Amino acid sequence: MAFRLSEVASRMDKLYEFDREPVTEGNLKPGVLFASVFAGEHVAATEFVIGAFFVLHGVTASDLILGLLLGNLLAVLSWTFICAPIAVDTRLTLYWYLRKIAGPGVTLIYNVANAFLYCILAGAMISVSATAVGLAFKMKVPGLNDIFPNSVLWVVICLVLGALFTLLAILGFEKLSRFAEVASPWIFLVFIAGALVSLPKLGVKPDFGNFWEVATTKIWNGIAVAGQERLGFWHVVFFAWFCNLAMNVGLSDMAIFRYAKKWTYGLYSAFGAYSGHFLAWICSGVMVAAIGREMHPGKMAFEALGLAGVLAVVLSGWTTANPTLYRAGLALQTITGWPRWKITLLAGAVTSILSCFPLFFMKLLDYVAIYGLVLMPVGAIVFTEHWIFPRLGIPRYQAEERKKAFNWKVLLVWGGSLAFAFALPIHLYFRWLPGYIFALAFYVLLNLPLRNKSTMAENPADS
Amino acid sequence: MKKRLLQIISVATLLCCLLLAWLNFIGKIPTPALKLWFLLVSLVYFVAATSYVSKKA
Repeated sequence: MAFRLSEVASRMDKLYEFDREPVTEGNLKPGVLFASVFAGEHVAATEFVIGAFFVLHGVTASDLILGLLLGNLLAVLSWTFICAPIAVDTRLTLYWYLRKIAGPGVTLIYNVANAFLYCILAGAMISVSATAVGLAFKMKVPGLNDIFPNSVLWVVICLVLGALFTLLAILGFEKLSRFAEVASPWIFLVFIAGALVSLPKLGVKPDFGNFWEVATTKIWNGIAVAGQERLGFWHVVFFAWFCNLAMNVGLSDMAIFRYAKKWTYGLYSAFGAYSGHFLAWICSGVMVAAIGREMHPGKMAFEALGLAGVLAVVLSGWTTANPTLYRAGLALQTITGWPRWKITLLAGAVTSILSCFPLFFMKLLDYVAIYGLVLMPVGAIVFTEHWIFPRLGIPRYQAEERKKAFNWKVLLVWGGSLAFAFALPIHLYFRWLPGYIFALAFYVLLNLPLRNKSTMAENPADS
Repeated sequence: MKKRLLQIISVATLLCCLLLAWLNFIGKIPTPALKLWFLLVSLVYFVAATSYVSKKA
């Protein structure tokens, strides 16, 4: 298959054709819709794992609560002050805005990177669901430090679930996404109910009188499970902040906020942050403590709510993996030009194989950090181009103006800031922030000569 | 009218699930009964909410 960038770019453009034009005034949506979209999107299978991991990593109760309050606030502010204003200003998706800035070649690379990262995330969701299905077969779940599958049964369950999820994604995304709309409020309720019924097992009295004592001694007691690194307040703050880095700072939620009447609609992201990334994480922490600190989402939910709990874990895995597979398929479709069913099948096969490796599920916290880190420089580049270039008098949208397929400066900043971030001798969770500042500064620096040229062109007598 | 009814049933079943969990927490219903009733009420929720969303679409 001959690879022609112009053909690939044209296919990619057709795929996103429906959102090529900026959103018009008549299509803007009310605030309540943003609240429901965020509340629905941020209660997923990952929540069963992340909240439980905080317990296993020995986070204390006060560090957890204060860290999540602050970290989620920073995430909401990132949506409000970084993502929403650009989306409202341009009314475009990140895809089309990045295309103007970086050219179709770079958007292609971005799409492929995104697709691959999506596949890994969907694989982790299949693994979470597998822990629930495995209960029926008395399957032993892989250990916290396992990289490879620990049994044939684990592989079989992951592959069967992967095949099922892929088949459902092929059969029809829209109908299934409607079902996800139905499932998400119930899944959130399962978190609350599961934690509530687990509390008496930990010794909490019906009047909640000893709740804090139990929370600090039996749940978030500050003791990490053997082999797990102990996390503190700032780890929790940064985790809550960057767990959706690709969406807020990385700007992929421009797709949502371009429909907002005002940039302040970014504040509606609090409905997702504080329901999914605060309450649900606390609830899964309670549930994991009630089963003796074992990383087993299926068992956590089953012990709390029986078959309904198992159903919740499977459904949450599926409702997260389904759109993820669909998006990965779309991104890859642009390169191959294959029909959607075929490319979703390929993405599903890769995802199913990845799901067999417990590494991605057991190292989910680190994976989430890497996922945000990889896509973060693109957000920094778009932010610089949108806000800083006009103030410095640097011309914008060079790729579009010069009809370039690749803006090499974008690629250099993307690669350079990743190399910088990975070389930093600090904890993985803290690397994105200096990396982001580096990307902003580096992109400005690379483009400063253009400013000089334009200034010289305006004032030829000076030269 | 039917749509409204389905919406009311969906919300009521969710509240009922929460009530069941609360009753278990305060020791009014045993865990096996909670697990059974939670599952049954959840199934009613899914039927009502799916019908509501289909009608809305």
